[in-house]
Amino acid sequence: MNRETPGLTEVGVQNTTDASTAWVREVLEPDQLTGSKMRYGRRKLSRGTLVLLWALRVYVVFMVFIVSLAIWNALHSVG
Amino acid sequence: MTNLPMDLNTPTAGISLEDVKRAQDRRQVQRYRAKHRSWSLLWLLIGPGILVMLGENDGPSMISYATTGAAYGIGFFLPFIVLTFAMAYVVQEMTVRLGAVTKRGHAELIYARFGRFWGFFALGDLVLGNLLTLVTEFIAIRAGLGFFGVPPALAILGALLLNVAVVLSRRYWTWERVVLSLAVFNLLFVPVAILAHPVASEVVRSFFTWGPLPGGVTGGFVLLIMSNIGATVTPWMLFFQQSAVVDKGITTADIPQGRIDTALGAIIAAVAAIATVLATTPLFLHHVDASNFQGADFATALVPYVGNIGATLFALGLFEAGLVAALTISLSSAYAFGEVTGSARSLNSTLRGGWPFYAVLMAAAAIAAVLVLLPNAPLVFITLIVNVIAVLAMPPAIVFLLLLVNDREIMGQHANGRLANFFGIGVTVFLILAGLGFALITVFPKLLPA
Repeated sequence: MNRETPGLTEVGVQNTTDASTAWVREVLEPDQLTGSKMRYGRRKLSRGTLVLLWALRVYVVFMVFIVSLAIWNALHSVG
Repeated sequence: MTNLPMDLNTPTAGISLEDVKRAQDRRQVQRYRAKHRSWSLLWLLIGPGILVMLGENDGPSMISYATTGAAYGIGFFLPFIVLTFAMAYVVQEMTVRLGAVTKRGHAELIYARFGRFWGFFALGDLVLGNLLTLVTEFIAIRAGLGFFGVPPALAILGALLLNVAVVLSRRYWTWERVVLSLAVFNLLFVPVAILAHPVASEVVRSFFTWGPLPGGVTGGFVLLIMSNIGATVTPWMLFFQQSAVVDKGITTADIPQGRIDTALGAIIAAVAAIATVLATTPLFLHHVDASNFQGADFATALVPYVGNIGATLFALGLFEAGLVAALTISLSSAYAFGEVTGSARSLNSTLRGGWPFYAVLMAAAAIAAVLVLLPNAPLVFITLIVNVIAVLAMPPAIVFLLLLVNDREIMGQHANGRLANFFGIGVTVFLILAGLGFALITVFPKLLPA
């Protein structure tokens, strides 16, 4: 692949505006280029979403307990 | 897209080999679109949806369908399977839109929009759940090939080497087409079903009457229902399809084809699942107790009813189910790792630039393979616990999916509408409650009357 594409190396990203790679910019949308991906910021959370996330945290703690219990029971029955 | 929540300006644009490979694929898509070659366009754009659905028709799932056929025969479970795949479509369609609009994987979006805790939680439970699931896939591979007398070590090593060979193509397109061609063999269960000579009128009637249900509603039936609903959409499916959509380079213009791809996958997977139930129905009709059957036991037990050819196809189907799932699930772990850590996350990456991605992918498969081969490894325990882990991981993953797909800052006009939310939230609540019930019953079996 890199032999067919002058200006590119196996290392990966190379800053270039070479005409040989201009077609890539035309074909891909800006966010599809590995070197020009914009970073999303944190989402502003509403009160409802915050409550939902706390409910998820409680759920996770509860399920960790459940899974631990399942592991304990399984080990106990195997033993 | 409006009001993009950026905290960085566009960095210096560079072109990588990964970009070039993706651009080559996209250029072909644009050519076909310009020429209005709809079928060719669809051929180029299918992949993630079919793979995720057939990947979910994995080793344990096919055993579960076989057990269902042997326990209940033709009846309630045939339309029920269609319902579960319809629910899977509702959920997976949202991942297509998310990937196409944001060009980011599920783990990456959770990390970016909800912070480090949830990002690493998503990664952690996915990788752990996937590792345990991979163990069950290698068990299926071992069982399927064991029917033909292939030694376990050879079967596992062969599957592992195939995974390495396909990945080392360092091309998403190649990987996808190879795995798609393997996934087609999920339909091997269809000829087995035909060889089992199901009564067509009974099959058709079951879809209209949702019956019969031999034995009525029992504790075992409720457990089976909840287990099936809870396993309809598993976390790796959300992560895999969204990441694969991004890796493939799907854009908003391709969303219609992405939906067709997902629907096709759901239909093919439902057909294979129903065929598996029909294939083992003779065991129900002849009162064969299959409750303790493992992988290849079904193939052996089916010989009197579907012949050697049917049994051989069944064993091959089981091998295929495990193999395709192993390939897709190990990839989903690598995608999530790259997305959360900010490292490479594409099968188009070079080996040098993307070595952490490839290392995670290989390590996930290799660790599971070694565990299966280890003498006295707690495989029964792992098989038991894998569903409980999946249930732990599912609610956060699916809640974040809904939050993200309703996030108009990133989704713009492609965010969920009222109808999509009606179905999406309905299915989500249903899946969560069923999964939670299944987990509780697994841990506290006495909750359910006998």
